[in-house]
Amino acid sequence: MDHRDDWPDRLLEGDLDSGGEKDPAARQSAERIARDARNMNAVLSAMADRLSERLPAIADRQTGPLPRRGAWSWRTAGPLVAAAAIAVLILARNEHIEKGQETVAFPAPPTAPSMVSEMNVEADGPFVVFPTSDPDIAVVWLLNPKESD
Amino acid sequence: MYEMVKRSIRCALMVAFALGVLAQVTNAQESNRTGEDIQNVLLTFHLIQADGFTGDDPEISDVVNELRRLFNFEGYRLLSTSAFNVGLVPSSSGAYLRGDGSQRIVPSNSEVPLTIMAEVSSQRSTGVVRTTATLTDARLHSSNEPLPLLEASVTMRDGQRVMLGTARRSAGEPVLILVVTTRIDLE
Repeated sequence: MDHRDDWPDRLLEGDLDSGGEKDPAARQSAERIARDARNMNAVLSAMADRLSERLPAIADRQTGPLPRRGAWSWRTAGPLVAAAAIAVLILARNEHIEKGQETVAFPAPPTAPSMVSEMNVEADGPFVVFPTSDPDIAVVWLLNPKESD
Repeated sequence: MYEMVKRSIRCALMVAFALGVLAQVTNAQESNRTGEDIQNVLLTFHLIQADGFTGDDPEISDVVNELRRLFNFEGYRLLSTSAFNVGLVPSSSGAYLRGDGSQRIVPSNSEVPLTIMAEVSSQRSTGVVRTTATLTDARLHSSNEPLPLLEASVTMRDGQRVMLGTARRSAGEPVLILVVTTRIDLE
């Protein structure tokens, strides 16, 4: 079945070249596309030749199924990735526990806890404990000391 | 494929186990350092008289700044500085460590001798000490016991300071404040 009658008349009978002459930009574009196509064909052809040369040699060497690059990667990288993931989980858990303990013992910054909270003061008489702006300094003020006889 | 996955999981578990053991050993070493017994406690005592002195003494400037925020005394004078080391030895039960020490001082501008005594104890591997500090007038005795001017027991960590003060008992008596600073030596 010939569809050439459906084409515009000026595109038939080699009129493409004559049309390009009329529009230099379109002609250059067409030439670039044609050149790229030729280059691609050459690359594909070379790759096909190389593959066809190697396949028989590989087939002769291998008695079992051909090793797959993806399988090799998985076998090598898989344990490492899994170990790294588990190690990260272990370390993250330890760090979380340590942070939790630290939070209980020493509340977080910006201000350190005053020593007053764990001083456990004992005295013979009544006393008052004053915290200061320095968390490592506290004042114990005895209100009713022993009187001398 | 199944064998390969099994081998991979086995390798992963072995590596993770090795890393976990390494992490635990590191943590244990760190814990041992913080859980060491206390061998010595260096106690430094600054005896301060409140009121009547408006100058600045650089040796006690930091504690005086805190005192000024709390009390309305006109000033603070450093009467004496003393320090002694208390070595801690295990108690008979071995559950805690204890030691004590004392020092006789004569404050500046005074002929009245005073005695500073400290009893220190520490539960093993806690990193804190329980200190009972006593300031007595060495001249006055009641039933052969020196009369304490100041006495209190506090729990302290390394580098912490307690300012132990008392109200004036009579118009002529000075207001005394004993600043106790703790330095802890681990074994």
